Amino acid sequence: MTARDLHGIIGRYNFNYSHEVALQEGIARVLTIEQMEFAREVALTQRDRIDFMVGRLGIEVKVGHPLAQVMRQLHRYAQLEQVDELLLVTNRCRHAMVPEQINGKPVEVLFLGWGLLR
Amino acid sequence: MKTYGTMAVSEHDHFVELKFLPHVALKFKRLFPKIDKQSIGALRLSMTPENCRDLEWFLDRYPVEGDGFEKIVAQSAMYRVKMTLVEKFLTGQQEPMSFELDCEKRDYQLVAASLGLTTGNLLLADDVGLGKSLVAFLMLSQARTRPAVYVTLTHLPPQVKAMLAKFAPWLAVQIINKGQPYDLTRTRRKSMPYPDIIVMSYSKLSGWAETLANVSKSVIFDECQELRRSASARYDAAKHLADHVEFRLGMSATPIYNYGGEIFNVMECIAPGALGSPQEFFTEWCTDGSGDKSTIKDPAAFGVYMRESGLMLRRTRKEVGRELPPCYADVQHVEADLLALEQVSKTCAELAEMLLKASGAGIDKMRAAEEFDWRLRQATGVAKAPYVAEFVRLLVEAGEKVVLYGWHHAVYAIWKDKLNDIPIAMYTGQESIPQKEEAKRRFISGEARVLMMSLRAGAGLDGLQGSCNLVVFGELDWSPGVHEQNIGRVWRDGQENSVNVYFMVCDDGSDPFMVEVNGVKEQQIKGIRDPNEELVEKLQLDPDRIKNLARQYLAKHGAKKPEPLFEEVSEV
Repeated sequence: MTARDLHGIIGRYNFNYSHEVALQEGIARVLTIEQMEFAREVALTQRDRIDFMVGRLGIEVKVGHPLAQVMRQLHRYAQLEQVDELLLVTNRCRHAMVPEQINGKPVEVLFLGWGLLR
Repeated sequence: MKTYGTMAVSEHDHFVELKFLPHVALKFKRLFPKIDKQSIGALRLSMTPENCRDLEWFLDRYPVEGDGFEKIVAQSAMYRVKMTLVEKFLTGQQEPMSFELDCEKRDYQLVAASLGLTTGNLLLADDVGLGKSLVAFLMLSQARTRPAVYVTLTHLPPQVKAMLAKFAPWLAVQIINKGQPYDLTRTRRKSMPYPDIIVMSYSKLSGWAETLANVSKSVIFDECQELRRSASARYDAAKHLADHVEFRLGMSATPIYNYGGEIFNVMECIAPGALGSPQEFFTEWCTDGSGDKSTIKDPAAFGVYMRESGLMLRRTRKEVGRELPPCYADVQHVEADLLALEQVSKTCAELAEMLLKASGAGIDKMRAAEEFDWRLRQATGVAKAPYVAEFVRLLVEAGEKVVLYGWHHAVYAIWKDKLNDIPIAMYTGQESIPQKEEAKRRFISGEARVLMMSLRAGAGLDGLQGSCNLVVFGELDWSPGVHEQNIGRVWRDGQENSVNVYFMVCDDGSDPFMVEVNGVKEQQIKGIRDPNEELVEKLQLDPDRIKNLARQYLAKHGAKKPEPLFEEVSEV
């Protein structure tokens, strides 16, 4: 399972959420429906707690938040040995500007906006 | 008996002022979230029936001294009676009223009309095309609601009058044609009785409100999202009229277009005072200050509250068992003519700098914001236009009729140029009402294969569903409600085929940001309207439609296989 595969799978769903916690709940539900093994709120270091880990693939969920803050966070995750790839699920189009790779690790961005038109 | 403070009711019974012992004041503020937590001294609560019901309960536990308690009890009793009736109607324990109207009446329409007549204040937010107008006609068929004013969008009075003539031919209906009041009982040649129902557009309200408020018993606000902004003469007029009549009905599947704060303005014209004072509403429900752009922090909770209190009635097609053939929506990422976007990039950069500067006059920034929006949005539309036209051509050549939505005249011009061999009808802000009627007729009859419509011209239009099932958005709107309204022109009662909707978007220009803003607004309206919606929904594929289109295309153009145009299609 690569970040791109997971992008495709989660992208097949529409989410009803008014805040980040509801969106996280929605993603947990999708991963359950798709019968994927995952862990929530994984403490990667003392400071870093990623929203989901699916194997060695990390998922970070964002509703709002400035681009710079998101970049710093992804950059920190990408330095960690236990993370191979990253998927950012976001409601902000600006977040599509994060690089395709950080520290040599692929980073995929799922912008939920397009899906909401459907 | 021990008491914990004092109370006094204001003149005209607008609000009650309470002074509690400090620990009781803290408890009161916790239990009444509409009271500002920072307020000290006397606490003010508006005397809505609902507040009085809650207050009666609180004062039972913490009695106070002072006058006016009997007024609280009286309002509270009224509220109990009303809520019992609302509950009975909503749970089916109370039979709906009967109405004399010459048409097929559905049960859910009878319930809505009965509820509207019982409470006198109702926002009817049923799905697009479920026959909300008929609910209004049912209410107006009762003599106690007349004379009535039916306020609708500029292009719709003839449609409303025609429907009333069909369903209730015994009623005298008059359309108001001028902004200034004139004698409704005289024409040039003859005198006539005062009309039972006066049909008018929102734009004419400001001139007429005073005159009509004195004589009217009810007001219907059709497409009541028009009342979402409070700072206008027509809003003041609508509010004035609403304050003076006995029955108010607001109808719209999309009662707000933008942020949740707008619902307060809309509701003030449908149920004046029911949500309390503006300050109470924004303190209790919203996150960021007060005003139209304020967002509701928990839209689903507010939606449940609106339903439970009988202020809003909302039924989906599924709930009333009138599901239509499916509607499939697809997002097509098209290439863009980058030159068109580059041409505006320098100006847009300058405008953006001006917008973001800390200094500068507010009015200059406002103008810069408007121009920034206009320039970048138009450039995005222009950049996509040739590709959109090509896509529409493919659909038309496959034998389809298409409703194509746009916004800028520069974009329409490119579409018209690229599709100059295809008969087109125009329905935009530039056409007069008769020209729009003619465009509709040509499209329905098949004389025109493409109906180019302005994004904001379509709300309420009926009649396209029998002859078309394809919608293309060549440009986007800032509000998801507008997209929904526009899809509803085709996907409504009477549509016998599945409907396909294509959003043509590009990854550059203004589209990504517009989609992001649409997303935030969508979560507001969705929560309010459908608080029990599933957290996730799987988007369904509709491969058959694509295969059929491809087959039709090949039949017309020989065996040459077309490039795949579609990536993915999904169900709304």
